[in-house]
Amino acid sequence: MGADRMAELRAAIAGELGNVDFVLGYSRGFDPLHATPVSVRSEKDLDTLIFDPTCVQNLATCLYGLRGKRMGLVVKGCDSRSVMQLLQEKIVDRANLVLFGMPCDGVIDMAKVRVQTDITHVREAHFEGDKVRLVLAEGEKTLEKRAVLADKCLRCRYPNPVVADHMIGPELPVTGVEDTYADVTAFEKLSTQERFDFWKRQMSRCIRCYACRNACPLCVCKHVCLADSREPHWLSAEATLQEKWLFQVMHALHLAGRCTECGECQRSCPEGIPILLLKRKMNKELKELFNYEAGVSLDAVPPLHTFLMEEEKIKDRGMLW
Amino acid sequence: MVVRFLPADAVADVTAAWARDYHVLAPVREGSAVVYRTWARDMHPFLGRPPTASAKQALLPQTENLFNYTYRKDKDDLTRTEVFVSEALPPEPTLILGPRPCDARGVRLLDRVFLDRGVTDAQYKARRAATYFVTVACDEPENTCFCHWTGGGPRDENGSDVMLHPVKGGFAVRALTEAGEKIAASIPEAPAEVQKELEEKLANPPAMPAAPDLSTAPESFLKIFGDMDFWMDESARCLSCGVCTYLCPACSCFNITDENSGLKGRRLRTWDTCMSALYTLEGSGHNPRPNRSHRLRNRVGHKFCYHPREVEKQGALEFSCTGCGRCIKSCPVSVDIRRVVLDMIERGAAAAPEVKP
Amino acid sequence: MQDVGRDYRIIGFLCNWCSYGGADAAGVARFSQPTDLRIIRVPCSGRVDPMFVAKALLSGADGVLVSGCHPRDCHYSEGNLYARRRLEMLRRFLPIIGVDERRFEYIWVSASEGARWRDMVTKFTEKIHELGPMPRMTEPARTLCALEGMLGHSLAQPDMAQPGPEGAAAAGTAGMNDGKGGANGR
Repeated sequence: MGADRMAELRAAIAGELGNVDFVLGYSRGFDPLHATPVSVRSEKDLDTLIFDPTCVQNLATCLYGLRGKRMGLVVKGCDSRSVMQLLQEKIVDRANLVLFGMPCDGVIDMAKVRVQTDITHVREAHFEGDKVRLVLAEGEKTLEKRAVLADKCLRCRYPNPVVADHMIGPELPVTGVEDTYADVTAFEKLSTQERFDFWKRQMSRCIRCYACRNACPLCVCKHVCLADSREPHWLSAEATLQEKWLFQVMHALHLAGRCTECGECQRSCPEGIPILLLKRKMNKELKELFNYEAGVSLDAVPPLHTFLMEEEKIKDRGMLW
Repeated sequence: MVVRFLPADAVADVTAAWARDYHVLAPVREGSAVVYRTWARDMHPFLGRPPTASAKQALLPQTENLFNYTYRKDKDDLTRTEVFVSEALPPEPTLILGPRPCDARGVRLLDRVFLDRGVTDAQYKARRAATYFVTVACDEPENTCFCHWTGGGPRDENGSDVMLHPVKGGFAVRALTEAGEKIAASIPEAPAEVQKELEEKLANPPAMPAAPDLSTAPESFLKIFGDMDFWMDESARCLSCGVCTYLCPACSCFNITDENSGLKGRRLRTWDTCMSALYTLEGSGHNPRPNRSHRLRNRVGHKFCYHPREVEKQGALEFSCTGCGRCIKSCPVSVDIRRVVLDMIERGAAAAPEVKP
Repeated sequence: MQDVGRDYRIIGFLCNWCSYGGADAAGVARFSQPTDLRIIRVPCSGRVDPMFVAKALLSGADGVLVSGCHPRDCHYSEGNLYARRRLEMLRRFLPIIGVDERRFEYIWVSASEGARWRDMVTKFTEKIHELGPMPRMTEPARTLCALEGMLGHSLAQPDMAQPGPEGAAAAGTAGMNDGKGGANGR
């Protein structure tokens, strides 16, 4: 984030440009609060690179589509877990990847920024310590950084990438609180009918754009995704509540044991539907039953790919009730 | 034309009155979005931000039942099977409250696809005749707005039946069509100071940064059609989802599928997106647009080259884009079509003068 | 309550070797059982994709029962051991989507356990009857506007209460309110 660090990143990338077809990093988007991925092919592209709390996208999403190419990738801690999960599943080849690890202390959540101030006329954004200073059309506004950080950052236990060829900048201490899945527990305090109605309401504004699916780094089925398949015919093309909801359930079920909670699904939803909650529930149960976290260890076997003769935590269903 | 005044606290009541005669779609805030909902009592329409999705859903619903069908064997001749088709009900009069001028302008672009091309789409035509737009004029364009690049503007009247101009305490209301007169009739006339405020506003449109000259866009596109490095770099960030196409007021592609259960079924028309890999996937397995670079090139090309070249107009080119900026705002990776078009023009100007079909 | 007295629809996924045999044994012995359960035969409980259960429940099934061989006795050695993990995860997942997890059950019934099969089916069906019909994820019915006008009030979307002027306050969701005040244009 400081000038030295950017210089270090640029130097590291410059050093590897000969080994790769291109490097994917972040550049400034259409306004100071938005970043956009950029592909760096030569030294003159290096000047467009940035790294700051606006760099929210998970660049690991591009990996599957570009497999076979030799490429570099700029990754935050959470992004690196997605890379790790893809490596664990042998979906991408480590030999074709050069990873530039960026220890990260958080990215902003635009939904939270919008609650505090108008975001449609931002002229400048400065990240100064624990404050965010915005220059708007009508003057300046300073926000508390912690108030606009993404939820995942407040509970981040992996600020330093778990896999990287170059670590850019000093490693950061873990400042995230331990994840108790309090949001899941709180949601489950509602009655069953209330929970059902909640999703009915939320999903009614879904436009079935599949941004959630396409933004997910682990959704590698692409055009043979079961949601689009006519053979087997799981879902029709109708944008009805049932079909849209069944898709979300399908997505969560297919990600069981694989989701690293990067949050891209929820972030990319244009309607702001809180779909991350479903995956978090899955991960909460996974942690409780199997003490497992996805995307952390290369040799770990996902719990749903294996079994034990005696399952400690699973009650034997032989005796019904 | 009579200028009327709608106080801010009367919006809900007036909308409720409209709901007696029309199926009203009004915008409400939900999550981080502004969503059109069918009018219901106790609704609080929110007109302070352009709705997240465009108003095209009123004319071209995301899922539309074209007709139902039933197969029945002829009992006199069992080798013959008859098909009975029942058509969908005609649409009811619909009023859509809260679109912006950029949304209403999109309707004209949809007309080109569904009405002007020699084959008239009956469902679209029926909805079009039965739908009325009560738009809200823009006072402060957002940093993603570029309506004036493509021939529009914050107070453009094309496609609107009634226009609401924000003024102190509410909205100044102008009926722009005969149907609009009928809709606005119940709203009382505006007092003199509101009329004056409106006049001043109309005389002083909001400042927008100067629009670049896009007249060379079509030929620039054709010049760099084969420059795959360019398109690959521009599309490197794209996720191939569908947000841009589904939220766009001018995008109209659709898919038709049959949903059967036994001997009965229905034929559905649903939105489709050219950004998806499935869009041009052929039955043989061949895909003429396998990469994101091909698909982004197609989308930009359609809007800024093919459409203007097909539509002959005197004066300015007609792009299949209203400059609403939704594709920029809601894109998860912040693809900016403005940047793509400007880069394209710059690259085209530097390229050799060679036109590839 | 709607649908009183109608037959409930309970889907059963039974493994071909043990559970289907057990159900067959129950039939041969002419045991009296509720008839709400409709059986789909699969080669092994490990074949059961959690999506089968999810789709069944969301498409109108009131309950789903999966039955396989006892662990260690799977005809294919390990199928039911994978199934155990998968189905346990599914069972724990159901509450977050607003489905009562008691509507889904997975059990082990062997080919000789006809009487046990009868007991399981009876108990599960009673449980489902107690829980009532499964709520449907359908669009709320909308009356024609003219009818609404005549009746003087809206029948639209009865189960979706509108948020107040300050924006929705649904549990735990972020970014509800952009703090810009009411319906005035800006």
